[in-house]
Amino acid sequence: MAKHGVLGGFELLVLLALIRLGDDAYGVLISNEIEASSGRSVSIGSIYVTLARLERKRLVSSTLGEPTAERGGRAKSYFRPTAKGLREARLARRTLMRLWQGVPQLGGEVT
Amino acid sequence: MRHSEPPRVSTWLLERLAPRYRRESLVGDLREQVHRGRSVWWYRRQVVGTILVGLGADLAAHKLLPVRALALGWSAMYLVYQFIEPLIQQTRMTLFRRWGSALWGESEVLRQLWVYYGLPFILLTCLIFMAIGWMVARLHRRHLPGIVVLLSATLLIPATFQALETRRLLETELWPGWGWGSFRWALVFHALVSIVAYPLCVLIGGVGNVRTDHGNELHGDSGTALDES
Repeated sequence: MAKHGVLGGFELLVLLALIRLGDDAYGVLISNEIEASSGRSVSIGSIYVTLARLERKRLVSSTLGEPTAERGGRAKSYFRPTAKGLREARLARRTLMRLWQGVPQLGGEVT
Repeated sequence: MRHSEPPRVSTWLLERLAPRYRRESLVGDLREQVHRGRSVWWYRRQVVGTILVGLGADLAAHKLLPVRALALGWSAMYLVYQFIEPLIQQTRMTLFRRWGSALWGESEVLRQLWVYYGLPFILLTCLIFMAIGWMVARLHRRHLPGIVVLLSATLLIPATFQALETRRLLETELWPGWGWGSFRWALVFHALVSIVAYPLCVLIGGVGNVRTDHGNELHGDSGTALDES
């Protein structure tokens, strides 16, 4: 079981990306979403390793779609945040905002 | 240049060494991207990155298993060097003394392959290394398919020492007129075998044993697939 507020930096990025993507979130889309938002290149392998950790913490659940020929007969795994995952994301946001506020070097305010 | 099919060797490695969690979907994702126009080099980078990330995650999640796997692999290698390698060398010398000329006849090339390069015995040692890789992977395949990469990489440590020793020997005048003859090339060859062939044999033996999950991924049951990660 995960304790509250123990999301790592990359875990939070992945969790936020799949919250933004909604029901269609799968490996490639999550990777593209993070690349588009952060501008940094992300390997799909690291996305899956992080998703495994998030699922182990019960913050994410996954289901398998139908296999397609384009994927060599391999099914897509779709991911979505659990209620606990959403709670953890909100908690992470609150924590970050609290830390941010009142720090002049960082602008002091979060919009 | 664009390809619609991902490279087979990379896929073969990915299917065996990628993290077990949702491996089939990961392989499918990468394949889909190549079909949609990503380059083969992008695919290869993803494969290498995925294997390395998976290996790192495995090591972090199962700290004792890599230690056990390395201890097992190195113990097996120690036993080989302690008991089997002397037998191989003894056999090599016996064959050389008794039936040397019958084995290679008048051929200087065959003689050098036997005496300097010890080619049949290197092939035998390769098979032994493959067996060690296979055994270690067999005992850890449920948890750590990538462990075989680690075991293979550790072989580079003694191989580096051997390469340094070879370099020292090459720079030494072992006898008057010692030039770039067959003996020197044989030294280089043996160093290369230690750096390239033996780690590769462990890798091939181990990877060949790791099962793939094609068609076996569990539908809709995230819990069970997760347990195998």
